[in-house]
Amino acid sequence: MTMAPRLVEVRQNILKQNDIVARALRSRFDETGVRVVSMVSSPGAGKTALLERMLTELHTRYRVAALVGDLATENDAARLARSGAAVRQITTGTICHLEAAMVQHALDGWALDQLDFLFIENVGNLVCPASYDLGEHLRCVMVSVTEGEDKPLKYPTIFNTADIAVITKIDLAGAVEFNRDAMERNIQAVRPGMRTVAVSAKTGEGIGELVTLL
Amino acid sequence: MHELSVALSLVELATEEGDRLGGRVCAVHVKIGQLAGVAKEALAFSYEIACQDTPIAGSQLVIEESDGRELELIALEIES
Repeated sequence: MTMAPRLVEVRQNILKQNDIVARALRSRFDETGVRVVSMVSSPGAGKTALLERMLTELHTRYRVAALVGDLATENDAARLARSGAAVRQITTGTICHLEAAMVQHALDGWALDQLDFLFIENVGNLVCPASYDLGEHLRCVMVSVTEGEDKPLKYPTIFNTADIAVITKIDLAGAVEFNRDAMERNIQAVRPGMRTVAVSAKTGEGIGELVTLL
Repeated sequence: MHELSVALSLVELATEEGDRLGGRVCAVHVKIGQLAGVAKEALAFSYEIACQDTPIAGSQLVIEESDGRELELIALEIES
């Protein structure tokens, strides 16, 4: 006689494996004293340009390194390496986001206790990275002045998982008639109390302020 | 959108739990929040593919929707 199937409660996060690895990474980062900052944005918002500028400026005062994720090419890593900082590329193939295991693997052989800052530039994507903790201490969501002031309203989840919002390409604000107040309002609507800073990787505006927030 | 990635993680988790509990997994119950960034239909489609050649191949995926950010394996239906 066949018995009816029994229903057994499990109640586990499907992505718990990622969470486990991320938590272990965070502990490791805490133990070795390295401050880890991740950056997420749409493709083309200026993550690499900003990171290049920051690595160049910080490199003289701190020990900095970066991991950059892309589906293909090592272009970003090569560009960032010009700053003099240690940089590694993570090529994901078809995967649209970085996961904790990829970060863990990419850090192989790096002495984290010899670093003050580690930057992780995620794949350009405002949707999927929201689901994957990378073990970072601070997550920056970046949105450029050319993307529309309602961007935060369109992507509430990623803004909710981030700690600070960085408005990029502020030097272009005039040319695109960027409404800073509207952008700020929309950011606050989605994540009340979120700290924001406007920067230009080109002119250097706001970089100093951003560094103090890290 | 990365439902196949999520489906693969789900299959791995369900297989592990199924092993631990013993018996054949005939259905997998999940809860998907609106803000989880995962589309129900795409997940269902990916699930079939992800199950292939695994101990839980042929199992049914039952999706419960919610308002939050959940992406949870709620329960397994096991035939002893």
